[in-house]
Amino acid sequence: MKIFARILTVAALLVPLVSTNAAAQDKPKVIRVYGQGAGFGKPYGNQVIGVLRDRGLLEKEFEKDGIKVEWTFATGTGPAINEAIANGQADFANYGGLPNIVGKAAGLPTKILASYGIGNVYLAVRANAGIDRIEDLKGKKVAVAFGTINHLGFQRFLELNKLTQKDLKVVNLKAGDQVSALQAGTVDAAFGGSNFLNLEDKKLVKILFDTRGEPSPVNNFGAFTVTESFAKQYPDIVRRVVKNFVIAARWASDDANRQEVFNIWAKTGIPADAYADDFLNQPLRERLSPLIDDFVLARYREGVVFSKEEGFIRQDVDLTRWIDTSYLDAALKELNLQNYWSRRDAAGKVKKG
Amino acid sequence: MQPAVRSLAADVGAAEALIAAPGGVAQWTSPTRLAWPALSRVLRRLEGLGLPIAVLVLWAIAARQAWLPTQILPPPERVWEVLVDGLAGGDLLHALGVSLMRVLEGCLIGSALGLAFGVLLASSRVSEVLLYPTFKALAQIPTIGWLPLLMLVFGLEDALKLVIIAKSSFIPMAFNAFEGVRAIPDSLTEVGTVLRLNLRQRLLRLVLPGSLPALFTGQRLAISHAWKAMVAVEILVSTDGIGATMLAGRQFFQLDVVMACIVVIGVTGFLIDRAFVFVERRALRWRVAGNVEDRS
Repeated sequence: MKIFARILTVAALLVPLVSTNAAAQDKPKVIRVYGQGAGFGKPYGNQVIGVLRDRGLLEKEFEKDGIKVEWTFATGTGPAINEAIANGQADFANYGGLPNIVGKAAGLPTKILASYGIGNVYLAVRANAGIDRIEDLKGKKVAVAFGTINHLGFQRFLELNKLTQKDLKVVNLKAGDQVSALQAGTVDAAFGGSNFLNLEDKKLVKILFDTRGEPSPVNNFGAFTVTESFAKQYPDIVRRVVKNFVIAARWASDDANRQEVFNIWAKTGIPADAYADDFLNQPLRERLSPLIDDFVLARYREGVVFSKEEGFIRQDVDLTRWIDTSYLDAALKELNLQNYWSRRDAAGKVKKG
Repeated sequence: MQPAVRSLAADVGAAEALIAAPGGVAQWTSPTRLAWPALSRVLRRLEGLGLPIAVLVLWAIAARQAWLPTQILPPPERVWEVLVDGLAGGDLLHALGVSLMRVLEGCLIGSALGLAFGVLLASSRVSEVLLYPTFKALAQIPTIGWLPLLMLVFGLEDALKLVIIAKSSFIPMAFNAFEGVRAIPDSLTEVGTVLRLNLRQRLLRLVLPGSLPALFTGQRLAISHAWKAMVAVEILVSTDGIGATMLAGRQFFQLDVVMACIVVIGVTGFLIDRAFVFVERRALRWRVAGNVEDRS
């Protein structure tokens, strides 16, 4: 008991020491960045975060300060990133809208800094599953990874087609398992990302539905976030990180770099051709905008309402307090990019003026 | 007939049960036991609750002091709420029902096959020589190790889960049946031969009573293995059931749901085991007194 009391006393004495120390430091030793990964293949990023990493922008930016940058692309995707944030292992995290919302509602101290861009979703059906139209899905076994942004897209897709989960047999499978389940014929269809394009080329699946082209409410969305404590302690570091995020977005949005961008993303294990197919006839900047415009806001708003309806979250999420675009706006101004990306309305149409 | 033999497996089972019993090892005499026999009997029953209560208190303190973030370690009262809501609202109860049915079906199939296989192995040298090494080798592979292969054969539906659960209960049942029958002393078998018992009489009057304790141990292990296999297979290939609820809880970052599921799984598993011990004690009451009494 005495020893215990002594430990407590020592600990109590140390606490102020540690915290004053921390407050006195104006820079961290390391910046820990988490990316959503792809859930399969190699842990490397696609979209803006993959480009940011590959071009080593943060490393260059912080080299002179002696700050290291640590990258983690979680194979468990969004849900695993929430756990990393809760455990204090991440400073910045780039991940999908649904796990984003789920984490925030559970009380994770995150701030949304920028949109991570929008992604396409695909409904792949097994070649001989006898599914030719969306109505044929009734009673079929469909795989989707629960808790990921694809899950939200899936629900939106069902809604738009006047279907509910009960009309199908929905199986909770991670992205990597979906591919083997499709190949083994244990599921009839799967709802996920552009990795299915690869299977289509091999004639293993047909793509029955996708969001290629104009942005739609079914598209994937997500954000680049920072923890509140990091932002409070090192606002200037956040400013510099966001600036480089915008530089990466600008570079990745330039169609002159198209092939190079696809080659970088190919490091995830999805071939560059699949990305070319994914972005067919679409300028890069339509999908890689970091802006939190009405389109992204509407997706988040819908996501919160939907998550609450489905019981994924119990508390409401206050978007206005969660999203902090001040760093983004400053970066756009500094880089003179205010008008580079078009602002979209809630439905995804480009706003005039 | 005097079935005085206890198989090795039964002894191990008894020892296990003894150690796991509330109050711990039997030799240890609690101070409360000396003074007030009636009170001490009540307390003796509650002694096993000491550790869970200590864990609960530690958990409550850890949650209150936020030693771990509350998203990772929700306070016990929050888990209790989820538990009550889930049981009252029916979600958890339904999931538990699905899982229980799965375990019962799978365990029934697995133990029946295991019993037949074990008896077959033990009753003929030829079958033992031919089958036992293979059986022993296959038994070394953890049930879940079969999953990738079985997934391709049986798909993701109930069939896969039943096969996995049945397989996990087959092994301990077959093994104990084999040991139990083997442990019947030759002298008794010889008496059976002298009395010219036919096959039916032999099975009912000699083999069954002689190996019953081992069979009970086998059955008890079988259901416990089946229960654990169910949780694993539902987490890995989940559509419904308590394991699937737990996985979804993790994916939606609701660790309170995960912990509520852990409580349900633990308590149900414990109750099944208790129920089994109860049945076993009644069924084996005819045996020499003192043999079974200590197996509570």
